[in-house]
Amino acid sequence: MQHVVQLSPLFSDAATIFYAILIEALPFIVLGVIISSFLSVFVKDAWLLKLIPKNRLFGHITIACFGFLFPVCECGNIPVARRLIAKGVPTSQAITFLLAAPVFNPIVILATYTAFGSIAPELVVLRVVVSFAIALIVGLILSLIKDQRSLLTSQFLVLCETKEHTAQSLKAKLYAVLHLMTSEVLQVFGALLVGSFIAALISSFPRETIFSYVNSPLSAIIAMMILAFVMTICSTVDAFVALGYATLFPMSAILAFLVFGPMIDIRSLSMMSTTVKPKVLIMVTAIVTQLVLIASIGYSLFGS
Amino acid sequence: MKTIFEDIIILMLGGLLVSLKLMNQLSFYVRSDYFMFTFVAGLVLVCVGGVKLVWDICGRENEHHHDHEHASGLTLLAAGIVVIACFIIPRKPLSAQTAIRRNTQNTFMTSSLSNTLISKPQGSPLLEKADTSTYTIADWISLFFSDPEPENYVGKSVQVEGFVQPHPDGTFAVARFMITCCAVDATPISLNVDSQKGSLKDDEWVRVTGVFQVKNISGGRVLVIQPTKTEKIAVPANPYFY
Repeated sequence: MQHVVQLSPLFSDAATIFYAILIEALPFIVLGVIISSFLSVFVKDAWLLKLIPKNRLFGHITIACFGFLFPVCECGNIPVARRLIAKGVPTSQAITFLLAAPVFNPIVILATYTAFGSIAPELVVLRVVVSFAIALIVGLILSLIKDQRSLLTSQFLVLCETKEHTAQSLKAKLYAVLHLMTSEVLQVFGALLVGSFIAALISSFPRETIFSYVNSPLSAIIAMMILAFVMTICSTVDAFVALGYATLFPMSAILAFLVFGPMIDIRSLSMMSTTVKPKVLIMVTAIVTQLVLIASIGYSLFGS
Repeated sequence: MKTIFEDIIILMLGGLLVSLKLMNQLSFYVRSDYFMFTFVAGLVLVCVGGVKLVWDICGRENEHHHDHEHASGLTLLAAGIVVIACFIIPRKPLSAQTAIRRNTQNTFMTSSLSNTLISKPQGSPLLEKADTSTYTIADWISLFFSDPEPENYVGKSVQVEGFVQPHPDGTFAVARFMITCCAVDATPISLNVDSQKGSLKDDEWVRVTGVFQVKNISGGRVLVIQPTKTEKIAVPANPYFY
């Protein structure tokens, strides 16, 4: 193929990284959107809501386990979470789902076990338990806000107001599925563009700059959290990436990486921003950051 | 009208994934485990976009037209530009520039290969093998981790493939990237070659044949390949190691 444009190596590499993030995420988005579109059109709201207990605590616990029903990673979870909210699930529970599902699902647990099962089995358990607990705590805190709809962006509220697809003909339902798929893929993809662009820019910087100040367990924990935020890798493979740092850093820093990354990174924040208001994102980020710090510092003091 | 644009962009997005698979260029971006998954996702997008485009153009009267949500115009524009750009710009694996920027291993190769390290006099059983020329760069690097004493490698025959990564002193290294999932997490690994770059260009793919030697460079002992032959090769089907 003849190319008209020639790029300098650094620009070309930034483009390669940018498209790599998009290409890696797209199949998961498509999978998530397929699940969520069918959920929207073929599953009755009432039936789905009956599945979730009314009790606040048990409601959040149940939804945190939904990762086992929809075993897709972060990119696939956003469309599913949007659909859950549109179906009447409180925003706080959807956030719990978003934070818990990337780790609390069979594929990710298996991947983590494969990577760390032999060298640090307690890390596998800690990752799952700590992620679950943090997702639950963040959801419960958010559930104290009375008006759950006030957490949502105005564009997303417009979608929520549209009624359940009552059209009965299969043809109409099929069209509704197709329409949801195209618009959802584009909305999530559009948000992903911003995240991938920033991640591609940042990953062109030398990585040592993050590590040059690391000289204590606490600074190692913070460095690994920054790295998780910047790298924005999928939770299905992040355990293998973390393995590469297991010789450099204490296990508490690896735990911070494995818990923080799936919840908060450039990509997940930019995709969440399609649905919830910026102030909610800041709140969630602040709470998660503190809890991850507490958990990993505790682990470095009392564990290992 | 917006609906039609949405359909076309979805169709192009799917087409992009499918064409990357068919042109064997997915390997520049993600590891081979994801190829089929990506290809199927591309086909799904092509089908969804295609069917809906035909439906929207032909059967407008059939559809119930209450207010569906749409992606914003800005999103459509950005997505369109990004997809079209990927068809226009040259697609390449990561270059030597990124290898140099991300390099952590060369510091390892020089500093920790110093005398202070406890050497393993026995060497690794893998090193005792008569023919070491089938080892890849990745094999050698993992050997260095288990046995960092450079003297144990002297005289071993090497034949490795990689791209040319220039050194400031005019020599070069033959390098590859290791990836765990996609190009985002690529980590460079390389073997130094004791030869001037000469007519070789940066990023050009080469097969270097030779034997290992130890050289004293600014007080540290460095393992280098003493090349007997350096030939240019095509970019391999999988430019990255997994």
